[in-house]
Amino acid sequence: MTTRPPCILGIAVSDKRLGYCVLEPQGFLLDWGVKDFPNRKIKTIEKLLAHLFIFYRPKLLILEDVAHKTCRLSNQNTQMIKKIEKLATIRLIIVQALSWSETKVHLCSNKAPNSVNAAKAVGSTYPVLRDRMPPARKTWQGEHRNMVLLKASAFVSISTRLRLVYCEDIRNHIKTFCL
Amino acid sequence: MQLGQFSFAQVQLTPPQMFNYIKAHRRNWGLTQKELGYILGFDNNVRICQLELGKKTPTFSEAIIFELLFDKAPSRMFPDIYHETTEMLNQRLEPLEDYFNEQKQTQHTQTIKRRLHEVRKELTQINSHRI
Repeated sequence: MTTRPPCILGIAVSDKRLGYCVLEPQGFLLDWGVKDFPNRKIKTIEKLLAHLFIFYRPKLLILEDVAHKTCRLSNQNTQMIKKIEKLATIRLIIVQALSWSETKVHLCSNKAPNSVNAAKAVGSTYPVLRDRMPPARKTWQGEHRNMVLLKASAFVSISTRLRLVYCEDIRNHIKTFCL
Repeated sequence: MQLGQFSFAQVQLTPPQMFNYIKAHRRNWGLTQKELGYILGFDNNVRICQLELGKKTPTFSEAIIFELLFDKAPSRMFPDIYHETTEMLNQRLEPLEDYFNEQKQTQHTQTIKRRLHEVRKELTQINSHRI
């Protein structure tokens, strides 16, 4: 019997680029990467998202919670996340928002909850992403290109730990039952 | 019902994008498309790119190579192709079962009918598990 398990898609957005990570619930990474979109062309993103949604058919999409009080994303990035959420909803994908600050706390259980430690925790969970680990940056330097990928991977990683897929399944069943 | 009505071309086997695990396994191994293409016997990455995107179906020898490399049976490596094939087979077996019902009932035809029924039962079970 070959039943393809439902996969989870994690997306993180930063200025001019988007990181994505597709994971099977058993912890097998299907795809990951960073897509640049200079000049904020939404068509580039739409093309990538269409491929991810059609090819992998994710059941759950994890995005950053833009409504959370600790969210530090710019207005443009917030708008971008809302657009992605809309595109996913059209394709009947469950969208779950996770706060980046809380994700960091979950990942860095014994260390200081910052992006570098969260990236290290993700790297230890998925050894294939170790090559993408960004070097320690100085205070005057901008965020590394790969940080957005590790952020997306962190969302996906934490979603499997929290068993969000199963919770959402139950929630959907309840909704159907109530209707 | 005539068996001559069936043709392989009637059933579209390959939709535009068939999911497979080639890219996932290749990237987990840390291979490039060109390197995997070399393993399959090609000089460039074109064939691997087509297979990864699900635009082409793998040949039998390619499926065996993937199984040996990644230790995953073709049915698990190419789940969409597997399900499409089972669906196609189920569609084709249904009229065949009717055809044998119309034929003169001998021990031979009854054995075939029983076997066809068993296979169809299994195929229906497989397709019901599809996402």
